[in-house]
Amino acid sequence: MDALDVAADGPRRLDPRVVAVWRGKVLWNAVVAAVVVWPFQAMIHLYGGPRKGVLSVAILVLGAVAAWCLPPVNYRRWTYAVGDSAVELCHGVVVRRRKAIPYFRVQHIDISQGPIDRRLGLHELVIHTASAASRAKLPGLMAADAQALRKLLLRRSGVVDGV
Amino acid sequence: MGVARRLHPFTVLDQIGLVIWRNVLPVALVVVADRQVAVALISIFTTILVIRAVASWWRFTYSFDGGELRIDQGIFTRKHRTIPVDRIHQVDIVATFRHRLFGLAAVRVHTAATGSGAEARLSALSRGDAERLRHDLLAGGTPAVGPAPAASTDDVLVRLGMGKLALAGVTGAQLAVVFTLLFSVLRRLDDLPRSWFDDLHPERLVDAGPGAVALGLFVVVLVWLGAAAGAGIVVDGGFVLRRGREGTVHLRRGLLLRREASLAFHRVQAVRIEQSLPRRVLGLASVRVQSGGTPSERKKAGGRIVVPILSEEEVQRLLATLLPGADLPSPLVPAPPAARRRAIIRTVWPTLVAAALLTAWRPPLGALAFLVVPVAALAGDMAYRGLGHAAGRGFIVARAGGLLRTTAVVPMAKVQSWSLTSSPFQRRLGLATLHVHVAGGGRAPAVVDADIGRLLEVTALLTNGPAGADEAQVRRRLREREAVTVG
Repeated sequence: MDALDVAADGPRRLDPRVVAVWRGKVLWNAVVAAVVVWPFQAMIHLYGGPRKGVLSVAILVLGAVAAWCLPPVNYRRWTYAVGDSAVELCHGVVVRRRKAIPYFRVQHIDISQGPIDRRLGLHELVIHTASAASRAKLPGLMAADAQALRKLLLRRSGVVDGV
Repeated sequence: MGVARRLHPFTVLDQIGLVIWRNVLPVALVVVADRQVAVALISIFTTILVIRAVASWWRFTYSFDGGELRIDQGIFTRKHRTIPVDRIHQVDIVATFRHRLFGLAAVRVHTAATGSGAEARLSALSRGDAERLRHDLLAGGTPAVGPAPAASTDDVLVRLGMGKLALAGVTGAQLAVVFTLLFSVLRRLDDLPRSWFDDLHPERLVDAGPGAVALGLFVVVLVWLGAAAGAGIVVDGGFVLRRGREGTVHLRRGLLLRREASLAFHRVQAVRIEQSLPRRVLGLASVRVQSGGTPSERKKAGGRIVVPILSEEEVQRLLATLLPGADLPSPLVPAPPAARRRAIIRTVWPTLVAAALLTAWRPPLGALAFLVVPVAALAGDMAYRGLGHAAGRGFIVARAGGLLRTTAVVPMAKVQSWSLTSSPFQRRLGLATLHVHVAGGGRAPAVVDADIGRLLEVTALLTNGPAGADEAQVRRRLREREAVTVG
């Protein structure tokens, strides 16, 4: 097992439908990139690049291929665990990342939903600490799970009350 | 609720003056163009300006009742801001030349929220009021009655004279000052009349001969270093870092713009020791103390506590004061040998790619670019030697950097969260990079390219143990304060 994987006591997976959300994101980015490149293609063609339109189509094709192949792989590598003292996230295909936020460091928790999330009924938890850089995003949670997890985290963030 | 007070009326003059100063050039142009219209326009705008300045001064009030700082401002749209005392990380007193002429000062309050506008600014108070307010805000207790406490009980931690500050300027970031000066001068060149340039002939310079060119270069370098030294003196002139009462540290610096920053020890999130190559050779370093509050304006670093130059043993002493228990002389665990390959590859491959591209583009000359590659390898090796970390006694120390070496000392109790990342190359060699996030912005201190097993042990330390103790301390302080105000 990869040394960076979360401990064996209950790593959880995201809802499988999040794959559709990620696919949507990849396709959307490809479309935006193709549109952005469009005006510059005439100029690129002048400098010996491919013909007008070829670049945009290529981007779209690449995007479609990526949207088909990558999200399922990403899904398999995405796990999280609600441990004793911290919530741990483990994700990433090429670059593996493992993040942990101790409960008492949680400042507040946002719930966000993209358009595809809304149609599928999925939520993304964004956990904030006092450090601006360490936001943890936990996508692909069903509504009930998201609320329950949020309550749990907020409750545990107030628990450490040692004297 | 505490008594609501207004700022000093000087604010009005200052604001008017600022607008006038900023608009001198366009106004002059308009006056030159058409006198009558100009007079009419100027009088209209000035009237509006004065009315607005007076109104906004009249509608700005602040009050402090011991628990919260409350600020109400705005002419039409009212804005009320309340900052609880226990959220305040740092209180700075800033006095420009104009402020000092009238015996005034501005107060800036920083909280843990980074750059989201949570800091409060009181642009002009009398000097006594400013110091009293700062004392009250930092002490977090009932407002003091009477004059501000005398500074006699404080003791000096660091005092820097002009010589040291000049050295700091010459070995540090002030070297870039000359470029900003040059840039602003070059921008204005277009505005100067053409006739001035008719007499300049660059060709004559070359005719003068190598001796004159060398002299010219020497003068340029001298001016450059002089500007850097001068900048160092102006920015940090009269640098005094003293220990204040109740576990705070006060910093005063600046020749023209006098800045004063105060920081409570328990707010220190991280201490970074930075050494550029020249400073390392001379056995010097600069120290940056990061608190939970970061000024939202990046360019004005007056809020952060930065000591521009210290000898290495002075650094140890300062660390001992700010972070009692951090045992820096303890040797840092070096990065594993596998990391050396990573470091060298990291610096070499971009130069290889660039050299290859250059050679393909301009065959004979481009090949010269390959000469840079061994230099890059050397830089990579230096970067490897700069790596090191230590974890224990409640602190994490992470060092990185070849030319500019930074050692970050972070109390484990202040780590907000951590993340462990490894690229496929790192995974193959059993390495990973650990980032520890602290409040207050800036780059997260990172232990780069260390052994995965060791890093996992460190993360276990971070998640349990000292961090919980810190949070318990903060909550206990909160409860005690509540008990005092209620009882």
